[in-house]
Amino acid sequence: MDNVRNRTALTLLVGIPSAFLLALFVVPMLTMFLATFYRFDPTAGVVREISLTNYVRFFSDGYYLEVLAQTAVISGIVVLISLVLGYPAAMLLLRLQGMGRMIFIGLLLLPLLTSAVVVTYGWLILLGRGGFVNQVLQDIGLIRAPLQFMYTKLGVVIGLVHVVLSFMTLSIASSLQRIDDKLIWAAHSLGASPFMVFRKIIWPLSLPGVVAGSMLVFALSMSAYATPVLIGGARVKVMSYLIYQQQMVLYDLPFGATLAVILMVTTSVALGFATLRATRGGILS
Amino acid sequence: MSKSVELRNVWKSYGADTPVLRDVSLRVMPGERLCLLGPSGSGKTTTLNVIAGFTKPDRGSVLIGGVPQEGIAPHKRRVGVVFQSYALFPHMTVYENVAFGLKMHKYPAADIPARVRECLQLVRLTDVEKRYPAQLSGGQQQRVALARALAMQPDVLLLDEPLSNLDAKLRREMRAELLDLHSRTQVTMIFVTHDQEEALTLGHRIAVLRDGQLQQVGTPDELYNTPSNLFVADFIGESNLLPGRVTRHEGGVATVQGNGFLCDARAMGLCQPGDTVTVAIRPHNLTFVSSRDKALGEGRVLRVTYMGGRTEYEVAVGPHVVLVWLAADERPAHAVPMEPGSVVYLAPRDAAKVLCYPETKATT
Repeated sequence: MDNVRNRTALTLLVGIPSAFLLALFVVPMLTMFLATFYRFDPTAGVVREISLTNYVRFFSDGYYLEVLAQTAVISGIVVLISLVLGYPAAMLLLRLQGMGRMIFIGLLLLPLLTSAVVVTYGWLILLGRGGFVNQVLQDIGLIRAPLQFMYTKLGVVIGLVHVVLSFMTLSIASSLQRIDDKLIWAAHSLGASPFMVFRKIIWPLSLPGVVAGSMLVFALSMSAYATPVLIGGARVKVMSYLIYQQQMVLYDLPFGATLAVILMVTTSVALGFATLRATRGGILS
Repeated sequence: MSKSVELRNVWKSYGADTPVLRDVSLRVMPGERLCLLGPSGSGKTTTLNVIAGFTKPDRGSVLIGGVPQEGIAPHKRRVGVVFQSYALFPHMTVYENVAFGLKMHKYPAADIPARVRECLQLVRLTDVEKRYPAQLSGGQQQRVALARALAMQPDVLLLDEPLSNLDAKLRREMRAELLDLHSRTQVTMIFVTHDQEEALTLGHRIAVLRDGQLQQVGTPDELYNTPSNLFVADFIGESNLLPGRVTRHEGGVATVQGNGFLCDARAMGLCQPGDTVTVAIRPHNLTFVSSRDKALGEGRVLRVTYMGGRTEYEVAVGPHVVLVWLAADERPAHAVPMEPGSVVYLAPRDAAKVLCYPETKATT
């Protein structure tokens, strides 16, 4: 009797979430994948004939490959900058105590709790020609004339870094926190200067957090939409913008789906490669 | 290579709380094995941290080899540390762990492999160079920690509770190995422990700490036979502590009257007639005598426990329970039945080792 009850409970426990996952995630994904093999005709609409025209079009026109490359490059730069800024932030987080720590955590959580669109609009105000950033830079005398941030890759990177930085910081912080204090003392007692302790002990042991954070930030940047589109406009083209164009403006759903699938595959391959390297290097297990 | 270590009037507090170290002054001779002994929270580990430079004293100074260490960062001091948790670098092999100190001190690269092997042989560990700490047993990890600390031939070796994490058998083994290691390297060793037996067997001298203050520093013999206060008498070895009142004091010997006993005791402090004092007698310093006149008191045997090497008697004397230990082959000088309930007369074997302190258990 008990066995049957357990079996039913287990089936429901696994079954209901699986059904959700299937219906709301897997099926749409498969549908989209299928759509990449269809064709779009300006007069007839979506033609359900299997062919590879969309893929051929993507790879033969240099334009699309360029946009994919630009998306990847921007994402890579965002990873590097958020690593350079996020690592010290993580170290600071661990060193703070009490009220200071609570405030700092609040600051870190703020961009996560706010919608990316809202954050980006904030940047629009700051990055304009007459915006706050330019005002400050001119006032302190670093520049003579206002710099152009809007509609540039630099502006897009700045906006993206802000949105994703907390992910990187928290990921690194959790790794750093696991490092036993005594290891640092032991290293000192063996003659390691603070720099050596960082290089030989802290950095290697924090790598899991660094890798996890980088992968997360890369995925977020590759798929980012609001930030690159609002700040970059039509001048800085990323894949998500193209997808929007194809789907919403040109109504070429099959090609839009193709772009989306290629973006997903590219990101997955990059992340998979990173995981492989990390596992083999003994960073992740 | 081994140097002296000196602490001069060291004070240390964390925050606004009571000081962890109070006016600690101590001198350790080169090549000596000194044991810092005390209950938890007595400041022993803090003392190690101050010597190693991990913690800065609020007041006072630390000298190694006569050189004041103020302003000298821990990585510039030649102090080897073996932590209680061993603190082996988990992402490095045994070889890399032991070689770490050598690399940091720019030891000639070509000589490192030989030196690492030498150190591992010193701690009797072979064939583990390529393993990671997680793949080693506790005992092996400790040996690696020792090898790592000794690789650079430090001036001083600090060990925090080196035997606490080990089981009884391993503890005895490691104890012997540490002594052997010391005789081969002659490095100044400072141990921290809360186990008085460990202190008695490992230390040339022992420094007893309590609440951040040094109670007594001396050889195991001095601490065992002439503890300077009640705390030390109670902490080291087993002692019968009997409260009483001084009736007479002559030439350093006080006559103490207690509930159920009367005896002479060597005064270890100001014990004037009328004072309330505590008499300390070690269980093996007591024996049974045939009559009342030679005894310090009369008692009734409560329990007899045969311990193999000795027999332990619990005797009720007045309101106190007094422990008497007789060696296995010893028989009292008379045939008195030694069963629970028997009436017996107790007397000290060596009157010089009966001590009294101007404190009571409540005031210590």
